[in-house]
Parts: sequence; C-alpha cells; structure tokens
Amino acid sequence: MNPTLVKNRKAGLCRCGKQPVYFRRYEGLYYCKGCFIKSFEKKFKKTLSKYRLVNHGDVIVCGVSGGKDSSVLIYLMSKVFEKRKDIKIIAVTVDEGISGYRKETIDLSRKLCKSINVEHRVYSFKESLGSSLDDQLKKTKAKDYCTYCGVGRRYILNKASKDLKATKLCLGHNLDDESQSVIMNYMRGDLLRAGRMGSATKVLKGFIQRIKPLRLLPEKEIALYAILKGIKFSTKECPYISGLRPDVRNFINYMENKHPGTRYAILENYDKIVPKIKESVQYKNPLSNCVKCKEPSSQKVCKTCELWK
Amino acid sequence: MKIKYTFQDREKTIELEKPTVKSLLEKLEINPETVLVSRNKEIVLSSQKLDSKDLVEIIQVISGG
Repeated sequence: MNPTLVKNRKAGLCRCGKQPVYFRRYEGLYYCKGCFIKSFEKKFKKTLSKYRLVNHGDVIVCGVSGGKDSSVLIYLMSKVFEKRKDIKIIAVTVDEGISGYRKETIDLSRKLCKSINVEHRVYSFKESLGSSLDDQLKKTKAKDYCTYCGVGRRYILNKASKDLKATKLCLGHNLDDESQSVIMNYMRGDLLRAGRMGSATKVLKGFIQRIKPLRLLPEKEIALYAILKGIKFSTKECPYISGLRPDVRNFINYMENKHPGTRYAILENYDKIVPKIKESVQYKNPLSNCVKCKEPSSQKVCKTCELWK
Repeated sequence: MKIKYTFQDREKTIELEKPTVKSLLEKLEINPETVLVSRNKEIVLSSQKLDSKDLVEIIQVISGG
C-alpha cells in the first residue's frame, strides 16, 4: 500500500490527508466529507451497473416516502440519469393515512422532488383501497399492522407503476433491510420469500420488476450521505412498527457493533446460496389473476382483496 | 465534565469523566451503529473529545417503518 495512505490511516486521517467525518469500521478506513461522498456514489453506481438494473428506454417509478433511504434514492437516481434522455424517472409516494406521521414525510418528498425537477405523484390508501390504514385497523381490530400496510403498499406501487407505464419499480431497501430480511426468512423457514430476494426481482407477468440500488449501502451511511448533501428527511418512526423485524434489527445492530462487517457477510452468503434456494422452491399454485381485482395472484382471491376489500 | 446534548428532540445534561463521543454513547447505552453525532453542527467521529460549551446532538439514524 502507498506509504502516505498508511501514514494517514495511522494518524486517523482520510486517505487524502483531510480530517475525517466517518470511520468505516468494516474497512478500517477514515473518510473526509468529499471522499465519503465519492465512495458512497461509487458504490451506488456499481450496484446499478453490476446487476444491470437500468436499461435503455426504462421508465422508472421510485417509491419515495420522505425517509432518508428513499430521499437519497430519488436524489441519486435523478443525478445519475439526469443526462439520459431515454430514461424517465417518476417519484411515487404512498399515503397510507397514518395520522401524525405521513403528512410531514409527503411534504418533504414533494419539496425534494421539486428541487431536483422530478415528477411526483401521491397515491392514497383511501382512494386506492377504500380506507386509510388507521381506519382499516380500527375497523378490523387487526394486530398485524405491518401485513396490512405492506400488502396495501405493494399493491398500490405495482398498480401505480402499471398506470404510469413504468418498466421498473425502484425501491430504497438498504443493506440493513436486506440482511434483516435474510435472517427473518430463515427464522420463519420461508424459502419461498427467501428465493424472491435480490437486487432485481424476476420478471413476472402482471408485476413490474423491482430494483434495489441501495441494497449494498448501510443505513447509517445513507443517513450520513443525506446529512452531508443537505437532503432533508424525516426521522419519525412509524407508530405501527411491530412484528419480528425490530427484534432482528436490534440483534444485527448488536452483532455489527461487536463484529463489523456482519451485515455484508449475511448478504454475501445469502447471494451465494440463493440460486440453490430458487431451484429447490416449488410454487404450489401458478400465477393467475385475482377473481375480484384481476391483479396477479397465486390464490383465487389475492391478499390485497382478502385484507382490504 | 458536564456535557449538554440533544437526543430525540430532548435536551439533557450528563456528567462524563472522559468527555468523548464514545463515552457519551456508552454511558447512555446507545449502540453507535444506530446514531450519528454532531458537535457544533459538524458530524464527528466517536473518538472526538467534547467540551462543556459544545452543542452536541445525537442523531438517531436507524429506525423502522
């Protein structure tokens, strides 16, 4: 290694010799503001190119919630593809109707999209599914909040993407989310879901292909990037958060703190075995159309209609 | 040394023998993986020393939902 780099590292400086703002523990390297931003953007572009997530002529719908992940996602997508006239990017925000939570994030999304000149649309649970999440949970007295919300959000994002004639649905899932999902699927013994994960989902009739360019970037680094670039985001936590994920998240954070690189190790190992998982999974029912809403479903009635209609 | 800090929109004061970001987080039992810390509006490393006049903010960056 270059002796200057070694000297700077030993002195607790960035490789360029400047004062650092971040120590990337899993690499053992210090980063100043400029070098961190460069390194972060390089990783983002590398994920896009390595997995060929975007192709000529794509119309990309980005799910934007106003949180740090999706705000950084839409900012970078518009920055990377701003000169590509053949690629169109549209931001879509889903308003679940969660009082005291979603309004602020919708306003932030709207302002961000305006500042970067990206078309922004809002789709609400109330208009698309007939009821807000708050009202639906009150009505059904359901406790599995995240299931109701997740099913509704996926339905709306897929439908909005089709309405907007999108070829890709781009989501802000980060390294933390993905490593948590690997462990959660393992704990639940859910091979079917485990086989569906990855940087890009399989192209299935009726579904817009989902891509995840932030998949190899840790959540903490996404927040740091947003702060350093002056991207405003909401830090509010969803009041309905429940289920297995918070426990798995705390466990992985604990392990990452004790053993830096744990998250990458979880995902790298998963990526190595996923082809075998896909081979071994047998789909019980072929994909057809829901008898109620005509959207694709492996059941007679899709999960959205079962929970929401 | 007494250090003033803000966390989750609340301003508090804490007594630290060794006033650094690392000891602040340890005393508050906050996993450093879940936060960023700013001192006088600049993001700093966990080895950063703190002063009683500093404006310290612990920014929770890992949440859910």
